[in-house]
Amino acid sequence: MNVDEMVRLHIAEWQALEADVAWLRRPSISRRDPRRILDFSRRYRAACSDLALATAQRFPAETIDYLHQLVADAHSQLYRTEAFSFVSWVRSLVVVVPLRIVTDPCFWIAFGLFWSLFLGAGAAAILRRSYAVDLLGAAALAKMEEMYSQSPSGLGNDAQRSMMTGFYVFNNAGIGLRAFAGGILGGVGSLVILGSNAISLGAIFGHMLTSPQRGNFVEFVTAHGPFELTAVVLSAAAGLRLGWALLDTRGWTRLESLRRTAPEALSTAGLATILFILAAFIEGFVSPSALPYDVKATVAAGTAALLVAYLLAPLAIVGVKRGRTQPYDA
Amino acid sequence: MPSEAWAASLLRDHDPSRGASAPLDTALVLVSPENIAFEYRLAGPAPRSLAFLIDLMLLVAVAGVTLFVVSVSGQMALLGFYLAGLFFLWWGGSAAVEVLGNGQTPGKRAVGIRVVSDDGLSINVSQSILRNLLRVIDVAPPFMPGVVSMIVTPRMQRLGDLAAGTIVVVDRRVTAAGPPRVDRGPNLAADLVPAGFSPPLALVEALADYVGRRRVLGPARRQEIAALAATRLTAAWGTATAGDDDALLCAVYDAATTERHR
Repeated sequence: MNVDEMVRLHIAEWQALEADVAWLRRPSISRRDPRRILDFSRRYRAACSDLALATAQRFPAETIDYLHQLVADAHSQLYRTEAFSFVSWVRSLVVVVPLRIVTDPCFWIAFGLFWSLFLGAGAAAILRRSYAVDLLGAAALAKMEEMYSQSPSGLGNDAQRSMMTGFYVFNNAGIGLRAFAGGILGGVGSLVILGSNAISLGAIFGHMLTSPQRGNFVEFVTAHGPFELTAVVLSAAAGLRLGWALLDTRGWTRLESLRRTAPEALSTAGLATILFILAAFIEGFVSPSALPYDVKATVAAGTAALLVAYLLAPLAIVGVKRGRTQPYDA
Repeated sequence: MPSEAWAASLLRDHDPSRGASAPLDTALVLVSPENIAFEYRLAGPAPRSLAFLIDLMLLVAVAGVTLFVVSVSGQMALLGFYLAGLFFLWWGGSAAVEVLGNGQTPGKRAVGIRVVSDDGLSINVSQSILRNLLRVIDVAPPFMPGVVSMIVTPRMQRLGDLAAGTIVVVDRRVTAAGPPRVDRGPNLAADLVPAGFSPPLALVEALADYVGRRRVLGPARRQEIAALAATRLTAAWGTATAGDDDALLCAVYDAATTERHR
């Protein structure tokens, strides 16, 4: 049998496989015919051996090209990615992610860096009024003071509040994702965004606490503070994890180390995004509400306690010993 | 065409040492569990930038039309939903359509490229989200790290691809795989090939290329090209020149490949 006859013999099967691939690519997963799927996998294996034969027998280049494309297309349909599992997703969110975060030095570095810069800038702004002015500009501070010149209690109507909630999601969660993405540059991008936000937030806090609008300011920022500030720290921690994977490769090549770490960092960034969105709702609807300050303070204490419990409970249950076997405790 | 050089390369023996350093190519060879190696063609920065611009324009169009509808409605509450929606569209929209489109966004489909995992499989949700989140760094001015990364990495990956373990490949339109010889009937030149003639591997490969492409050549051009090799072959065999050089080369190719198959 020569090449000509071989191609004539197999071409119908190849075209049938082509049709199968087009059929499997169609988005509707319903009406899947199991017999056709069996036919597809049989045809795929046949095409694999045809490709091997074609290469060994020096088939014309266009035929080999065609078979390469056919096998590649069929391969990506046969070996599909693992289906989404709700149970493993919940387990990951409730157990794996918090355990990974609290055993990750990157989280504690981001945490320590954020709070030391925040408190340092705050103290500097309290001690010297010119500090915040030099850092942020007199105009921005005057605008800030004007913003808090009236009590946030009962501010705005529901429409304005939902608009502001949308804005907080867009703006704050966007900053968080940028802090995460910046981590790919050896962690530098994350550190810059974390540091600049910590310093400017600290300066604003320090400045406002020494201004006449102190009461209004505190009343507004209390409720959403824990979620929002933790989300900033988590975003930067996720970015640092990416950057750190490039520096400390744990025996892998740099790229392989990055590839293995990236999904884990992504889950931390995902958690940060969830916190940003929750914080946006609190900031949009609780912080400017007419609720008494005690309620807003309780919301702050409750969310802070929830965060601590969420992050530390898996460690407490699984035990410090198990925690030590996590990869980041090296 | 320098016919002497072409014929020389046609008849040159296969030299394995020449294949020692892989040629600079955009082909990526992957091995499947069936132990078969198949090729992907990598897509470079140019088509990928074009696909990105198309997607960006679509995104701006969707965001603009929605903003228009929201502002016409005059509902401030809708603006909140719009901004939150814009967040998800901006950061997750590409990932969503990429996963649903099996590695293709509308822009990629228009350009004819596709994202696949670097082991040749379809991308999963996490890979797609990761590479699309990191795009904000990849396109960051002034250095455009993603473009630099595409140029320096062997598989033309931007930073998002490196972290997610993905590659962007050309989604070749599958060409019809016709039989190499369309003109049927017994090949009259087959008798001219001496029994037991076994051509060197490089010649078989060259003949495979010729037989594969002769369909797109006119009859006169076929004869012209085929004569270059055929006259040398008949001279080496010490036989009279064949009347139909094209048929002779097809016959040699048939004989060589049929022999291998047995």
